[in-house]
Amino acid sequence: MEKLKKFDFFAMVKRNGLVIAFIVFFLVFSLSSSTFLSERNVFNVLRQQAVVGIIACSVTALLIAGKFDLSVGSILSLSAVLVVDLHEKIAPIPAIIITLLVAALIGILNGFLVGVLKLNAFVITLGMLTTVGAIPFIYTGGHHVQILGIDEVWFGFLGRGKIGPFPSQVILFIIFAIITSIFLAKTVTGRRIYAIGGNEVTAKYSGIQDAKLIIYLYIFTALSAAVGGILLSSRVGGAQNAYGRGYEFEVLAAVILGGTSINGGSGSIIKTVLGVLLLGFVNNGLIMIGFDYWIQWIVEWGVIILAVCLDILARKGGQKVGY
Amino acid sequence: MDIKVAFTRVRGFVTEQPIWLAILVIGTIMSLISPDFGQFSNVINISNQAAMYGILGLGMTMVMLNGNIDLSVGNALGFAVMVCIFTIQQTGSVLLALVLTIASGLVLGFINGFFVAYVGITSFVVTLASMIGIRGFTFIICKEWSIPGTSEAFKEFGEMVVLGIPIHIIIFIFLVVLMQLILSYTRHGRESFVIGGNLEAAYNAGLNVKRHILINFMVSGLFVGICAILTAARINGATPTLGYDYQTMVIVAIVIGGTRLSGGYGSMVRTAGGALMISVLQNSLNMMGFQSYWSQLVTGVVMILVIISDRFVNKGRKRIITEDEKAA
Repeated sequence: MEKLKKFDFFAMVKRNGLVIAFIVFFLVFSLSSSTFLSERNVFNVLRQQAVVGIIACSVTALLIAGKFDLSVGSILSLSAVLVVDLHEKIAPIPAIIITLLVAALIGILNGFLVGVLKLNAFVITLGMLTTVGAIPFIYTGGHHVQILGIDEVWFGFLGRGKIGPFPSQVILFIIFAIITSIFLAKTVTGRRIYAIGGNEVTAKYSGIQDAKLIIYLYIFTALSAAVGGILLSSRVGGAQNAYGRGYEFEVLAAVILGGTSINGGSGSIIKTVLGVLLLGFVNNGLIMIGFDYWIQWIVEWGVIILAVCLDILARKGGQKVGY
Repeated sequence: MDIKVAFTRVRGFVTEQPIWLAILVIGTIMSLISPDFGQFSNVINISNQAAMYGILGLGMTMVMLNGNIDLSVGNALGFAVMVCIFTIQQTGSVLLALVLTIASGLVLGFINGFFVAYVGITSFVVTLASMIGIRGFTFIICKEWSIPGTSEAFKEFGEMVVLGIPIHIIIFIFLVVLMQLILSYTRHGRESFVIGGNLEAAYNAGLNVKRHILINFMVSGLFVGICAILTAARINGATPTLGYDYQTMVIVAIVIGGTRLSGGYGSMVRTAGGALMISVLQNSLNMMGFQSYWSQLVTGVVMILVIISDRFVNKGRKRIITEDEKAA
């Protein structure tokens, strides 16, 4: 009886390692720092992680289909610059629409190259990361763009406003996560995404139009990156040319930490949201209890490797891992 | 007869590695447009840039032949350069600094390789995590400050010129030849191809898959160390943000050269060609008066075009690897 209980405990740790890690970190930080759990700090972290979270949701969907999108960082930079510049030159609503359209075009191009021409997603989107990353510089000539009086225009509300106690960004993140989650779990198209990622050949013979679906997914990631860019530029009231540099990897780190397999076929939005939040709170907590900010990177390294190791351990009983 | 044989060989080489023809064509056109392009000093300048990405690329090519990837090279370079300069500053011993720099590269390579080969985590995940983490260690050493170099002898080494050619270009060429020989004529080199071509088959054939993968990650680390020494000597100092985006450019160079990310196909000469191509593009656009971000754009477009053309050129041939998509 005693033994059985112990076994169950370890199995539980393996399966829910992330949730437990989350609780442990949370407890340690809230005991060591009086301000960690304050409303202000919690919302601060949520707000910081909202953009990563929004992009992470769509990247999760794409990863489930077995594809990468590394170009999101550059799409974010481009959207931020574009929306700010057009906001000043034309008007807010056309600016947002044009920005989203441009992002969608990049998404279509990604989707065409990966879905229709069946090229390697990693290399293609890395190429797009490089290519698109240069466009904001070319567009602005290397200058920084900004919106004058960001607090007076409604565009500022997107990144700075609050509805009740919730920052608007956070609400958008929650809506994004819920919709994507329901879409993936409950709709036919959502299940097809899992099918493609699980086994592309089988999916094809089952009559799933994978090319079309992959194009849609790339449009989705591009649009979410654009939304991220719009939110960030609204928050700051301006944009630099390399705003999104490194976002692609930050997003992937959160998604992988959540436990979505980069080989496709498995994963969920809830896991990703947990990954995003865990990263945010760990980073914030470490700073709150007095560590230098670069310590968080080292902890991140350890946490990701540990999470994936636990994941492998949990699966080892069921299936053979690799070679 | 001899000429015929030579011609067939050259033709074979060009169809196999069109990158060199492309470099030649761009080079010729540029020399006609701008007389400065063909100058000896400018050729040295181009090779200079190519050498840095190229040396990192040589190590990463070994990793890629296995079908793995090393995203951490950029930040590992930054860390190793920091170790090098910091050791010289603290102890004054150049020799100790060289040893520690190479060692830090090897250790990072070992950590990556261990988790990929022996724990079984996908290389993308392992090196993505270490890419983030290594940066932290760089900052621990320097506390976000730049460190200036303090050794005159080390600085002179970085500026050394043999027969009019800077020392790191000579080292680069030497390393390309050495690595190509290792790749073609040693058991480790041949077996690395086999592992990348079909991992399961390699394992079933009795190859020590895990050891080869670990060694290749350590080779990548070793080249990070070598590149770090040359970089540290050349710029004679270390900044915490050095090498941030390098991994992207290194992968771009390898892909443009024609080595496949899916593993089992590629060579060191290709990687050298890719690195040279990037550098030629950058230099040409620079000569024509374009800002540096234009060359970034062109590099990205060229990379995508190379992959597309690779797909269509090889469509007719029998492909060894059909699961291109599952590369990472």
